[in-house]
Amino acid sequence: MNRKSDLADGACFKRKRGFRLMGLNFNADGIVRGFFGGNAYLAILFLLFICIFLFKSAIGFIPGFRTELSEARISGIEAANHMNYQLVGYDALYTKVNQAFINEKRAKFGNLATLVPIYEEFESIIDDELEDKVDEYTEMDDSEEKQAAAIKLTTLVTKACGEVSTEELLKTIQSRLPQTTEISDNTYQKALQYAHKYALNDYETPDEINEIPALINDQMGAFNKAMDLIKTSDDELREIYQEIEKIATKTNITISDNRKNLASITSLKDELKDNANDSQVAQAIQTRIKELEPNIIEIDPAKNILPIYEIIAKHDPAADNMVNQFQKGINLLETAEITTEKSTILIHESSRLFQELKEIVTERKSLLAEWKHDKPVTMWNSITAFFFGSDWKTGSDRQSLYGLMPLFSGSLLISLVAMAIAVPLAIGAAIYVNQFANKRESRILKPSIEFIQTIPSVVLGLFGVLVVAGLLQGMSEVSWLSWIPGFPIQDRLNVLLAGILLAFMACPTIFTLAEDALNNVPKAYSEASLAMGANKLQTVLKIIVPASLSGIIAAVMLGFGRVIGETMVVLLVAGNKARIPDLSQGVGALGESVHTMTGIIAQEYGELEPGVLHWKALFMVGLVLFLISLSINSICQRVISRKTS
Amino acid sequence: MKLKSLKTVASAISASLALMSSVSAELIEIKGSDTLGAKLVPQLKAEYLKSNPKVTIDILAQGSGHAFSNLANDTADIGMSSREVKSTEEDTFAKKGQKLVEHVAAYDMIAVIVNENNPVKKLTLAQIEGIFTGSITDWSEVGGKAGSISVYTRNTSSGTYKSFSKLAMSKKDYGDKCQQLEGNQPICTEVSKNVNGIGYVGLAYAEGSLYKTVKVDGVSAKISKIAKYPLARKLYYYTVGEPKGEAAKLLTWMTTSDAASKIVSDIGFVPTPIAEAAIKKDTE
Repeated sequence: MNRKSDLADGACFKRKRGFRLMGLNFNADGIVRGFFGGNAYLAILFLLFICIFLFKSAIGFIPGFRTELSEARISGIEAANHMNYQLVGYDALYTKVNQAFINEKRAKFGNLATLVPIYEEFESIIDDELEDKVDEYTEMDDSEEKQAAAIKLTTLVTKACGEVSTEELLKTIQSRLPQTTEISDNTYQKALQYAHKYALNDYETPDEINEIPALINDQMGAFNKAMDLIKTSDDELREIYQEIEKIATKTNITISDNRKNLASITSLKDELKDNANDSQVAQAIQTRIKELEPNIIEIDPAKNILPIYEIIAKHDPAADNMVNQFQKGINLLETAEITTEKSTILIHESSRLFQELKEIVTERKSLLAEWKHDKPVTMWNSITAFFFGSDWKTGSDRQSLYGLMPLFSGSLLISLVAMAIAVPLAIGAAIYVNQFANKRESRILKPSIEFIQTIPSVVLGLFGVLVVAGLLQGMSEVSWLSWIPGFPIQDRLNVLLAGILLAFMACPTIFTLAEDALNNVPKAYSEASLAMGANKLQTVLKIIVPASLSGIIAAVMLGFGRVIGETMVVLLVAGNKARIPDLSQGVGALGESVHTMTGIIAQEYGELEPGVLHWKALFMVGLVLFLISLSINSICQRVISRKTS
Repeated sequence: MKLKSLKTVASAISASLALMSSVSAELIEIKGSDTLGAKLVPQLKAEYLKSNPKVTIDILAQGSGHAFSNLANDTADIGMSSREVKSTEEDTFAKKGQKLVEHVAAYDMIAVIVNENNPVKKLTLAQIEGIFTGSITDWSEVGGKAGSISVYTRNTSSGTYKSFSKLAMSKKDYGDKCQQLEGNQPICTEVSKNVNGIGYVGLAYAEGSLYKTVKVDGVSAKISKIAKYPLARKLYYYTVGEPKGEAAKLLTWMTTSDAASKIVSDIGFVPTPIAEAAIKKDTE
């Protein structure tokens, strides 16, 4: 038989038959090709779709935020904020001085003060164990029976309090007043007497107990006088702040409610037009409109602002008064006799903070002098208030603020810590596995490192909360490790913890890509180097790593992209405190809780109605995250392509 | 989000299966707040089914907001909510010619918790306000052992977050040092592990071995003290119009019967009849 092979026949080179439509081949090959191509282009379509969705949802934020900001300005909230800012500074300072005062009091008058904690201990025993009895007694009508019950109740109180051993009692007292060494019988009996009074008098704390702090204060001399001055120094400013706050919030709420109600009515009226035929629905809509209409209160901002300006005129003397009186207090403090080291440190710190407060007051004074309620808020103001705002305060009853800075700084700090840990680890591992490890080693190492990637992030997050957080905190409290800056850490959930866990997640990404990059270095390079007499280590460090540097950089950047976009782990372990970390304390800032851009979206998206400003703000944050990831990726592409070209 | 949509699909499937299997049985769908829907309503359901086996009850707890969206779409008969209905939500119903009716489900008390080893036993409302707004920063200022206070709160999407700011902080803003956690349990965990921690949780979570509740203005967070406790709030059921048929029967049973009251108080809420009687007595 004369058999011809397909090849000889040329069958495989023949054009397959099929029909063509609009320049596309509709034979089997064409369809398969089209399927693959379509899948690839689908990705671009999808990306485009996400971009449009994000922009569409976020775009209304800037004008919306502008409206809210200008409402805050017209109503005078902004002026109130300037005053509040000084008072917040005062509070921060006062709490320091107060701590010094309390510390000093405890050191000097511990024995007189022990009565209070002992009494409170008894009080809680009564609450926990004898509540029913006390209630029963209180509800009785006055009679002889009640007197008998009173005696019975007092014995019960004595018995219940007696069940706590003196040692146990002393231990609890010592946690508050460390220098207490013993509880005198006299004090114990007195506390017991007051506890009886408490039980018999419907849970009223006896006046004698309430007066003790004042008694102690009287004996503190110059310190007490200084405290009196400091305590009252802010009264005047606080008073005018409360006045301005009351007027401003009222105006602000009216303005924004009016805006919302008007929007509701407009949409209801539109609905009414569509439902004109359905009498039942139309009637319900009209009732609702009637319900809403009286809520719109005519308001004239120009008139409402007048009292605000009157109050602002009073501001400067009040603020000066606060500073002067505080200064007097501080001067008096210097003459006071201070015995404990802790109080001395606190007072020293207060003096330093006082200088800062003075600066704040001067700054806010000039801002208030320039402040005008009708200065327009521009789009640019709204944009800067978002991108550079230092407060993320949502769901507030007076003014919600959407400032990106606390979230951005949190995300960035966590990512930097994660990269500082992951980069040396992952690249070191990649170099070892690629260059030094024998086959058996790399057969074990490579898959194990890559396996880390498969751990779900929620599992890692829970592991962090329940295990690593405790370990880290325990370690930071060990005394011989206290030389490490930032130890002991402040918050259990913090930047360092999140950084460690994210580093663990980023390692496999960086490792795999860096190892690929090392693999791509032509064999000839290393062979040439070795032939020139360089040893293995020299070859690796001087030839192979530099040759694959662009690939390694790309690996690091992709790792960074993965870290900054991670949500679940940071949500669980970063502590979610929307506050810019205090970098002035150096490495200690790593022990603080922070909030992140990804975390805030996951946390606050929950029940928001689509379309409200807060919802749009979250999409703005999402957009920023998206742009960050996009730019990281495109930089990587460039780095890689520069190497190939 | 994925989980939620999965849940929705699952519940839709189960609902339709239930419909198919027992066409004759009455189906009541209850949706909304997880404060109510996580433990309380499922247990009430189990008890109610014992005496009314013909009824089918479906519960889906995803948050108060979902109560209103589901009621509006007619995919729920009863909505559960830990807050009052918002004005914009009422608009949605008005647009369809409907009106929402509110039923008080139970009273909840928000307990302020501190670490077991913290010697502080009581705080005044002013002190609590100071701590949560950030003007009091050290335990020694409120009579405790010196140490900087760590404040734990719920997050802004929680109804409790809002209720607490209204009840305890005269609507002032939370301080910027608050750590926002994902739920009641994480707050308990952090407070148990941090001797300087303070947080607030629903009464159902107030009992714990490593933390304790403090008295607020001299009143402890106990069911018997509901009338005087300053941090008490209401939880609600909502229906579209006055409830009818099986749903009406179920609602009356859940809010008034003794058996339901027992379950409510076992879980850690205050039954409406008890709370209302106590408040009435207190005002007299």
